[in-house]
Amino acid sequence: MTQQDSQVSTTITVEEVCAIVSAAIARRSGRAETVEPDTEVLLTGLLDSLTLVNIVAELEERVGQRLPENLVVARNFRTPTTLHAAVGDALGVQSR
Amino acid sequence: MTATISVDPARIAAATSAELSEIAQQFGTGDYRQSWRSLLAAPSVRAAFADSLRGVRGGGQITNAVAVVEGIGRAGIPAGLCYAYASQLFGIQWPLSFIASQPLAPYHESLLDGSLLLCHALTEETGGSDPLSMRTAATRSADGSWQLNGRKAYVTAAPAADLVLTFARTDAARHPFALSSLLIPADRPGVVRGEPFAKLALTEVPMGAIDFDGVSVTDADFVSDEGSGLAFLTATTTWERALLMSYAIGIMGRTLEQATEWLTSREQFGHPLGSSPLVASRVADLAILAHRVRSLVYDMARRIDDESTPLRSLSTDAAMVKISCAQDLLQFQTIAGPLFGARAVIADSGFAIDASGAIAASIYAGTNDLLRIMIARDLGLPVEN
Repeated sequence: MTQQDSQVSTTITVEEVCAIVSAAIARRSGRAETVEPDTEVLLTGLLDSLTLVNIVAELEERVGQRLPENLVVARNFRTPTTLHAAVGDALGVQSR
Repeated sequence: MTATISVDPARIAAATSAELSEIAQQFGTGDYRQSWRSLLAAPSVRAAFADSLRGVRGGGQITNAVAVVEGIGRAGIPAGLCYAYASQLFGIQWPLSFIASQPLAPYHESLLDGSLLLCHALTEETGGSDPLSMRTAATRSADGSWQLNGRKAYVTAAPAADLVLTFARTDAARHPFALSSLLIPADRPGVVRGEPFAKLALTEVPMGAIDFDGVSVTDADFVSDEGSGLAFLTATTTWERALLMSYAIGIMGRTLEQATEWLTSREQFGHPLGSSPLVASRVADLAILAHRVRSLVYDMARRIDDESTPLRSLSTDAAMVKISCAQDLLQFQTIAGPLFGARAVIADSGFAIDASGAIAASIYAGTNDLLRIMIARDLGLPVEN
C-alpha cells in the first residue's frame, strides 16, 4: 500500500457504515432492516458470526486495508456510530 | 502493485528440493522434533519461516513460501512433515505476524532453528465446525486473573508442541464476540499434552489432545483483545484453506514424474506400460489434477501477496480452493495407485500412495461439506447447518 493509496481510500462516513451493516444483515436474514447511526445493532440479534465477518470484510474493502482484530469486539459493534469511530481510530493509528 | 515480479516459483521449488534431496531419506524414521530441526536446517525452508515471523510483505513472500513447500514435497520429504511445515507457516505464523503486538516475537530464534514447535488448538471432541459451541473457556476471577479449562482434540503436532495457539470462550452466551484467542506455553502448569493418536494419515507428524486444567492466563496471553477471537479465527482459517494444500503440489509433481518414468521403462507384453493409450490417458489425468491444484494454490498466494483484496474477503474463495484441491488430491492418488501395481501399497517401495492423507484433506481446516454450506450461504441461499 503506497502513501497515496491510503490517503485516497481511508475515509468512510457513518452513513456508509450504516449501509454496509444494513446490507450484511439483509444478505443473511433476507430482511431489509433500516440501520441508522444510533441503531443498537447488537441488540437486534441479527449480528451473527457470518454477518459480523462480512461487515468487517466489507469495511476492509471499502477503506482499502486490513483492519486489526482488536477492532472486532462487542463495544465497537454496538451501533454504526461506535463502529465508525473504531474504524477511524484504527486507520489513524495505522497511518501514523 | 508489483509484489510477485521477482519470484520464480519453479526455480525456488527446485532450489529447495536440491537443498533437501540428499537428506530426504533420513526423514520420517526417527523423532519428530529431530526431523523438524533437520527440515529447518535447509536455508530456503528457514528463510520462508523468517519471512512469516517478521511479517515481511510486498515482495512475493507468500508465493515464495508456497514454492518452498512445493520444493519440500518434491524432495521426497514425508507428506506428514511437509504438511506440518505448511500448517505452522500458513495457519499460525503468517496470521500472527499481522497482529500488532507481535505475539511470536520472543520466540523467533527458537522457531527458526526448529527447537520450538507450535500447534493450533481449535477443534474439540464435540466438534470443530461450530466454533461458537466450543466448551473450552477462560473465566475471569474477582482479582482480574483468568483461568483456562477445557480440552482440545485432533490437534496437529500437539504431543510435541511447546507453544499453543488456542481459542476459548470468554463469554458463556452464544454470540460472535464470545471467543478469544490465546497463546499459551505448553509447560505452564495445568497444560497437559496427550499421547499421540494412532493416526493413519500424515503419520510423520503426531496428532493429539491438549487439556487445560485450571491454567492461569493473564491479559498478556491474549493474542488480540477479549472477544475478538472469531475475527482472528476467520483469518487463520482463511490462510489455511487458501494455502495448506500447497503441501500436495510437490508430492503430486514428484508422483507424476515417477509414474512417467515407471510407465516408460516397465514392460508388459513386450511393450512399455505407457504405450497403452488407456494407461497414458490416466497419466494425462494425473497431470491435469496436479496442474489444477498447483494453479489454484499459487493463485491464492499471488492474491494474498498483492494485497489488493483484504484477506478476510478471500475466505469463500479459499474454501473453494481447499475443497477443490482436496478432491483433486484424492482423485490423483486413486488414479496413481493402480499404475504402480502392488508397490502402491508397500510403505517402503518408493511408490507408496498416500490415499489416507488425501481423505484427511477433506476433513481438516473445515470439512469440505461444511465449507460447501459456507459457500452456498455466501451466494445468498438460506441454508442452515
